[in-house]
Amino acid sequence: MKKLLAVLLVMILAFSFAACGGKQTDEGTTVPEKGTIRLATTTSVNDSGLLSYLLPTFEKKTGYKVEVASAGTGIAIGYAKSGDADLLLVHSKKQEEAFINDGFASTERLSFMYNFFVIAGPSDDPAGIAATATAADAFKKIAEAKAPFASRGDNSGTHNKETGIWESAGIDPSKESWYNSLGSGMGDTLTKANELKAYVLTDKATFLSMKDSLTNLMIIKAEADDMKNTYSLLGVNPGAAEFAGKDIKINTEGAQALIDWLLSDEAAALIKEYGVTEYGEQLFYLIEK
Amino acid sequence: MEYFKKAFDLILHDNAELFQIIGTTMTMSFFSTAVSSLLGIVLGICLGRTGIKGKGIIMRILNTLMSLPPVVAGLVVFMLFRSVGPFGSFHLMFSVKIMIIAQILLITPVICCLTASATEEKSKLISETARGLGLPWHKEMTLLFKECAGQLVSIVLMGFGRSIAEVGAVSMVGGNIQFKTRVMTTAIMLETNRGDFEKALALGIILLCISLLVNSVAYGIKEKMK
Repeated sequence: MKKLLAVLLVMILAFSFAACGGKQTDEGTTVPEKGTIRLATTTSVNDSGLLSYLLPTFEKKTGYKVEVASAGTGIAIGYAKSGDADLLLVHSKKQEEAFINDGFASTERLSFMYNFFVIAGPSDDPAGIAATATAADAFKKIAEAKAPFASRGDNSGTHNKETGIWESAGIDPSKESWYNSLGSGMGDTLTKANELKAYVLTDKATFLSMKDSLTNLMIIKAEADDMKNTYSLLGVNPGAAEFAGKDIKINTEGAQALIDWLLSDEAAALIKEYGVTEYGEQLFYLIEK
Repeated sequence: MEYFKKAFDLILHDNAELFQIIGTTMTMSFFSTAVSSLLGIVLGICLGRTGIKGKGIIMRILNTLMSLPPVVAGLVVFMLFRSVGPFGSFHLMFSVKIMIIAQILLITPVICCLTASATEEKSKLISETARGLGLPWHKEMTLLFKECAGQLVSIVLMGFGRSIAEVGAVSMVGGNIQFKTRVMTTAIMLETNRGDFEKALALGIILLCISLLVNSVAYGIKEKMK
């Protein structure tokens, strides 16, 4: 027993040293370290790779360290409401407004960029949605044709968007046999939609990054007005009623610094370039101030 | 075969972050297994030896806790330790420590239950023998440990297996933060969500290799003890 523990301990130490070695190569900045900023965001933001592309520039410039916790819109907002995040980057207007109404926000809803949802589907477009004007019309056609449709079904920002489109189309698909509510993340949903040869509402970045494995699907409908996906920043209010009397530490200063930088021209230039070299097109667009 | 090649490529090249992830995974699994084993084996042996009235109920509760879904364990720990929660002042959210706490909650019942059923029979026999020979308490325990060593190693390894393979609890309380709380399983989940299935599978292969290594070492020791 002792030997086993000893061997395990040695292995862990070895790995820890290896880990330390890895970290040292990342350092070498001249800016003094300033502490950490806890950013809670949704998986889809993190999965697109945008943050790991943007944040190193911010960290190098200001000396702050940004810890990105990503876990689905519901949990991300839950982290912020628990006092375990300094700011939020999310894309679900309804939930953001509820967050503000409950007194948790220190800033207004700072909508600063958007991208487009797209409807992907089988390349032969069995429901004939390519020529429709809006997403709501496309959904109506899918319902008429009873073509298979794959839904996230996980109450994420993307799922809320999809539900909103069904509402504006005046259709309740939840009990239809062609409607598959999968309860999975974006990547998983796309893989399943590919197997089901189903239509699916997805963000463009995730679809493009998985294009090679999605052999049965292509983007059928893109860039209609009702398919905009707006991202907003929200600072967490240290004075929220729920936090009263609790030992809550919100890094308001750091959160503001990150917000200011993300709204700056420098960040804007970086966001505009993102995806251009890898996918040949711009993935995120800025909201003009 | 291609995926094995990809796994090797990852180890050889893109490795600074990978080693950090492996380091965090090992630290977490080691401490959660160690603490759970200590608690679980002591409790399990006590349970195996005792003949108290409520034993049946305790065993049933522990057996139920064996099927505690990881995400529920994560949720309970999150509710307790979030900043607005009762233990919020410890400020443990999104740290390796809290991932270990969540895993202890998950693994201890498993180890306790299995230890209780593994030692119950032998415990009685040894206890009788010891009484006959007039052996002191600690000698009796040493005897019991020697008798059950092989099974206990397997039980601890099972606990380690559950710890290293678990994703629900650690992503809930750890937040899957890069360079800090990202472990093998949450990294695999992330790469799957990103659609990089090859990298995800390569990470899975590396995880299994580490597990194989740990198991081999433990079995080597187990053989020697015989």
